[in-house]
Amino acid sequence: MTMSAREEIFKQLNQMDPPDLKPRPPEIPQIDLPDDIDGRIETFIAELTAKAGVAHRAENEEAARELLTEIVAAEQIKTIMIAGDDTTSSLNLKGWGEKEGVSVLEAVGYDDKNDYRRAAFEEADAGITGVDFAFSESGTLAIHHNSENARLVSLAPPIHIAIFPAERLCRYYEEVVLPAYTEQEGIPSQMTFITGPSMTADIAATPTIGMHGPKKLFAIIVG
Amino acid sequence: MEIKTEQFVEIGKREMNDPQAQTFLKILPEVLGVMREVGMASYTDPKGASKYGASIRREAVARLPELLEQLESNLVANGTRVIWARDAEEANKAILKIAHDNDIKYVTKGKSMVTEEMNTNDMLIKNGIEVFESDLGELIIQLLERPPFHIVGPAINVPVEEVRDIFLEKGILTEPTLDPTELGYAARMFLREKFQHLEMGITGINMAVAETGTIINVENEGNIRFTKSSPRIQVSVMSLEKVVPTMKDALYMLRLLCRNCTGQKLGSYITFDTGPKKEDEIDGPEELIVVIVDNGRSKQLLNPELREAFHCIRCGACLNRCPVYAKVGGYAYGWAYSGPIGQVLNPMLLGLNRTQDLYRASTDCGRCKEVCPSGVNHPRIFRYYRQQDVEGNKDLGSVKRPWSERQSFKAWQWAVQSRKNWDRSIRMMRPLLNKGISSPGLRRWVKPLNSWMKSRNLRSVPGKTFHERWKDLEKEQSQ
Repeated sequence: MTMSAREEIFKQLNQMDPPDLKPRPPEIPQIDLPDDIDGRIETFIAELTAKAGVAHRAENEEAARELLTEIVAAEQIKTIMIAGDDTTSSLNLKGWGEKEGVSVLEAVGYDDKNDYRRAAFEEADAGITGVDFAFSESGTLAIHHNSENARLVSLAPPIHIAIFPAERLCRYYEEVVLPAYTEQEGIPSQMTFITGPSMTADIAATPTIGMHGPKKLFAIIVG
Repeated sequence: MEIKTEQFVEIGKREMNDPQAQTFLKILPEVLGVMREVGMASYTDPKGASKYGASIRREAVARLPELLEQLESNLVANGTRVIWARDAEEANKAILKIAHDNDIKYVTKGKSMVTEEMNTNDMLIKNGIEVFESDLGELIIQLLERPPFHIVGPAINVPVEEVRDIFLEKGILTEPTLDPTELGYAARMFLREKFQHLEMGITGINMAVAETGTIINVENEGNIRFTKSSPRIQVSVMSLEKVVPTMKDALYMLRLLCRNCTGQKLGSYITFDTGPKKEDEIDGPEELIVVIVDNGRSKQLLNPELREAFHCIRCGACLNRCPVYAKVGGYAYGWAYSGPIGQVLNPMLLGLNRTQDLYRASTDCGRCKEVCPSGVNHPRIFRYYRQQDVEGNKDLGSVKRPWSERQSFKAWQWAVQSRKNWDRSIRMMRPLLNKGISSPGLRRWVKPLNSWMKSRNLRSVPGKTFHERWKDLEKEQSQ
């Protein structure tokens, strides 16, 4: 019988000399970033702003909703799609939408994928999500996608607004990613790091904000 | 993609005479180089950071059999289907079968060097599946039917006018414009509809984590996210060296990759997929398939001299520092990979005989290896290729150097082996040399040296050597 591709590849690979592993050099220390909450927020805002994102700090949920109202007015947002994660639920965005005259689509409310895709691509002017973590080292948001936090909400609408409590803001990726990925059970089907709106420099090396993904990214830190 | 590695000189010359290409090459590599330096400066010890990165890659390649097995078992445990492919044809066939089995009409593709290498697009199109490259640069070169000019910015050299014209021709653009932002917007609107109704997406893989069975993609545009999030089926293709041992290593390499690639601390989007979507999720692929492609690599991995070539993470930093790339640009390298890393990979994957000029087009300045974050010593590998080509290493696809060159070196060897032979040859050569300078005779005679002589005007040499004159002088004085 002929060998399968796998067998043949491994037959070759197994002829490699047994690994002669030199010890790795010492790992260089991370740049020392402020660890107090104000410092973390300040660094995060500076980093995200450098990557063309917009970051705000809101004292509490009420202030977050007010900021949201301002953004919606400034960007002329009529329809938003919300993820059903703990942050967006706790903000009672449906009630807020009714009051502000913004129609609110819930990603968790769809049974049919094509209906959901049509809403995300064609109807929503903005997507609002929570985040699982954020990192001050690069101004990055991390979302664990699951039934409550669908992928297209932060991707298909032209604007992405992320709202999260300040305590989710860490300094370095390793702090939370490594613990999350040590237990197979807790690993999400997809985790996304978002650092700024979508961009490109593919035509004549001209930096352009807003390519396929959102053209604008707002982050609202609560607390 | 047609392989044009044998036309290095021809294409290189054409590009050097193309004012548009030259204007661009004067600025682009320099700017990207500076951006990289700014990015690297955010490390406490930039050199140390690269050194550690190199050690991760060295370990990954050294432990490849074990890591690939671990990766496979974790991928499978997560519900990912793994397909192994000996070569491009096998991988392409597998991808086509998935498309046919699922009644797929079209796919969108994320930027992927390995599928460039495999010529996947052409094969799918030939078999009736429409392919839309979704990275803006890749879309442009797909429409223009050109190879990538740069590993990171494949169409970065294409004049805006040309983008406008091809977009108008293909109906992507309705109103002519020269604004890059508006052209980008036209591409966005064109692909948006494809993304919305997408049933199968194809991406490459920047890293695969053995420890967790996670595949990682880095991007700025969001097209890879769409290609992975919207469809029912996601096919991600990796060459087998893309594995890293742990998630910790992956995070380390992501920092290094983005800084070296575009000078960013991180690209706009990094996605980590561990298995297909869970049942209760509304989006994400129901089926996640990882294709692991060998395509000649496992054979070359047995050669310790070449192992470093597999450290590469395709950041493109070496291109931006290379004085040869800065003159000829990306097309001359004739295949998927350009710049110093193309001079390493193309000969290894296509054979030394088809890539003769690639590993010789080097100033040996070593700027490529200086910036490499994964410890590739490009010039050493070029020298190794040259040596192996002379020795006629069949495993590397060499068919020895021409007879005339070998004879010349044999004559040289004879001449330099003894003083007597040397003096005798010198006496013989001198009158010939002078004659040759004024007449084309010598040029014919020293054919292998022709291109060397072409750019050099030798001053005529005296009939006698210093030693001979000294002896004559001694004789004169003693008389």
